[in-house]
Amino acid sequence: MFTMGNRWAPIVPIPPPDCNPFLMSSATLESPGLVPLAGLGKRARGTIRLLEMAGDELNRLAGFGICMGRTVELIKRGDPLILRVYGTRIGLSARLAQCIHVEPADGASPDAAEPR
Amino acid sequence: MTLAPAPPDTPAHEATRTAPRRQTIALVGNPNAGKTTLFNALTGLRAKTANFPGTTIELRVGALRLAGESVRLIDMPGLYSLSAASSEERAALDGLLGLAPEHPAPTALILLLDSTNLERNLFLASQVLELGLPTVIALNMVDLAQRLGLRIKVAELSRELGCPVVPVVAKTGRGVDELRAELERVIARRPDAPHQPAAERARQLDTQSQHQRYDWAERVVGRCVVHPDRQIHGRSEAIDRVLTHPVVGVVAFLALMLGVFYLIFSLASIPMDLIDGVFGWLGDVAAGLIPAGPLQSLIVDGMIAGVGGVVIFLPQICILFFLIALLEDTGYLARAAFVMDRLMRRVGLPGKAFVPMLSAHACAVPAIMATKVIDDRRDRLVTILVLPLMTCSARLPVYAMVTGLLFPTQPLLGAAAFTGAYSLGILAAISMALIFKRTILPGQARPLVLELPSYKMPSLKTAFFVMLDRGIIFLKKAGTVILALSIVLWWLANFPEMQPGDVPAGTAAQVAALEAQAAALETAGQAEQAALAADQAADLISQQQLAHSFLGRLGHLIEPAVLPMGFDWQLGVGVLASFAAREVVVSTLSILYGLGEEGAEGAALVDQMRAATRPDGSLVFTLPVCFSLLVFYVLAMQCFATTAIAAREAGGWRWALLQLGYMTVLAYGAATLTYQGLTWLGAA
Ligand SMILES: Nc1nc2c(ncn2[C@@H]2O[C@H](COP(=O)(O)OP(=O)(O)OP(=O)(O)O)[C@@H](O)[C@H]2O)c(=O)[nH]1
Ligand SMILES: [Mg+2]
Repeated sequence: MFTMGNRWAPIVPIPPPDCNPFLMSSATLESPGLVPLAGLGKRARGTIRLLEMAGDELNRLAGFGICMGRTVELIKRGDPLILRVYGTRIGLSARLAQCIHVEPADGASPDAAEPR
Repeated sequence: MTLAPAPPDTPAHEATRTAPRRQTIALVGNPNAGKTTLFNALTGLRAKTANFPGTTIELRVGALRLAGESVRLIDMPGLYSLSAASSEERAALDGLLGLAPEHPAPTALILLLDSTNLERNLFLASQVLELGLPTVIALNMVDLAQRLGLRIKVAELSRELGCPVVPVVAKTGRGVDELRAELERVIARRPDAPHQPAAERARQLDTQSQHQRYDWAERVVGRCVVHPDRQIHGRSEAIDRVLTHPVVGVVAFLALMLGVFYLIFSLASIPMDLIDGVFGWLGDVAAGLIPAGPLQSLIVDGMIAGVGGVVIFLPQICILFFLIALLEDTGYLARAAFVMDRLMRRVGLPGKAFVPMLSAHACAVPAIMATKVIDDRRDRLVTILVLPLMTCSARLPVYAMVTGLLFPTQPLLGAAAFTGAYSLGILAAISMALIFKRTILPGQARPLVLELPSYKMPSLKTAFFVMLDRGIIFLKKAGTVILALSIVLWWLANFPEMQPGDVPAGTAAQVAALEAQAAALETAGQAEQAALAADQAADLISQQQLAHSFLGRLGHLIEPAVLPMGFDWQLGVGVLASFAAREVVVSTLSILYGLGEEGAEGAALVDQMRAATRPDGSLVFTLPVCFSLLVFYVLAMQCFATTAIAAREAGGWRWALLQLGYMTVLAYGAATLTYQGLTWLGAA
């Protein structure tokens, strides 16, 4: 269903809960076209391609459907923000959303630069 | 990797068939999927349900008759996955895998899937089915799925998952009979321990493959569910745009609470008058039947006044629990947690702490137990330490008494004072959490991930039974602890008896003068004024008796300590008597002010209190005193049950004593500040 390019595959566990800003920017540089989840436009959809967090945090999020390859929709920006994942809405701390990188769906332009 | 579930009907070992074990069926599923609702429908029990993920926090066992056999059914907390194992989910995981000490390992499972959100539910299902236990799938909330226009091909789904699938509506009981039939079929196969224990299999679950599980779930849903042309999710979202707004959401939360208290006030007044009338009538009947003397006083002034003074608040407590249960069932609580998260995290409280903090508004004891869901020890300790500052229902009688004194005829102001008291508790908890974060418990709270369930029409039946259960608990307490304490207090207030020689000369002269005046007025034909003077004389005598009693002496001993808060010695005794259970202050004051006011026979407690005077003739319950009393009871611990449970859950009396200490100091300081400040403002 979702074709996984090799470059998304390695998930480097980084101590929770904050992601390392330097690592984050380097990861984003390596994978052009990715934006942090919080940088999606309102009502925009994106497919999760990279999660920079430790294993137990990954497991926790996976249970909510926040997991590699899933398409999510940003319903409400801010901190915490609201995502639609499948049929449900999930409130998510912006701190975690910073560590989740998505590939914006067609038509949705990333507007990470837009001031909040 | 095998995502296809193991065949559920592994043939049972012949050897173990000789001694049929009692079957144990566990209910597994995502949080808020309706497990407890189904548990109640199957067992006829009334375990708590609410539209909030994480309502059930402990395993609960019920009995179920299947094909003439008694089967154990275990309701469990919800699980999002088998790998997360945050401690909220660990209890369920242990129950599922047979690792919970008091519970046998399940021999079969009911796997509950929320049909409105199948993809995510199937993620858990893929893991649970790999455990290899005989499983029946209950496809819940098909009523909601229908309304959303989803069409689920049940037979297809059953084939995909390799086990029977029964569509149900747990809330109405639709499909529950079919589910039973399916369970009977599973039981009849006498499933026994699978070849490999579930715990073993759980360990082998491949956690690296999460996205593949979702791929699988999406494929299954693609085959088995026909989506409508157009997605409908309008209403919940429209409501949420308002209720999760960072500013409007907080204002809405406050407005909602104000509304709840307004309803408590306006709806409760008639039944409260009724109860008051009944206890007044009881007192009159008892006084008529029993000759005047110590026994009459014990029953009328001690037992009936003491218990009646507390029972009168039954309607308010019932309404509080009814409204909170309704609110919980709408799904609003998750929104409140959502808007509060930012504030909470800033003071070092985790988002998860919001659930216990809300339930602490009913009672701190289960709330402290509910902190089990917080995995980080620091987060959990801070939460336990500040929880009892939330206004629990035992404070309700005290608040009601004080607001009744302050605003007898203005329910809106009364509700505002109530809301203020609640807010003060919350504010104090937040401040203390911040102080703990900065001092003895530094650190960061874990970031929030919280499901916001769809709004639902709340169930009146659920709310009614919550109200009934809580009302019964309250009455039980009134009939036991409060009755016993009332008897003790009555005795302390009446003994030792005063001898004529014990009356101070000044008072004796005053009484003599009043009696002479009464006699003179009587002969002059002014009967009303004569009665008034006689009452005043009687009041003086009974006040003197009270002051002479053990309780009076104790009160006068501690009076200097409570004086800065504006309390007289009776209030001081009330504080002392309610040290172990705060609502006792109401019964204590009923007895103390009831005894001191002979003339006010039959009047409601608040009226007696409002009329109460100090020896110098000034009123006791002035505005500063009322507010000081309110502040004191908002902040003081005054509950032994909470202290005991805090010691247990925090892992040591050290923490419980710290809690008791800081709360007492805080209450004393804040009440003093309130009284002195208001007095100064009034004088200025
Ligand atoms: N419409 C509808 N609502 C349901 C159904 N089953 C349960 N509910 C509602 O869903 C909410 C959650 O039900 P619970 O039984 O508390 O869910 P739970 O799975 O025990 O939840 P946790 O204990 O938090 O894991 C309640 O408001 C129920 O009234 C159903 O079949 N249809
Ligand atoms: Mg439950």
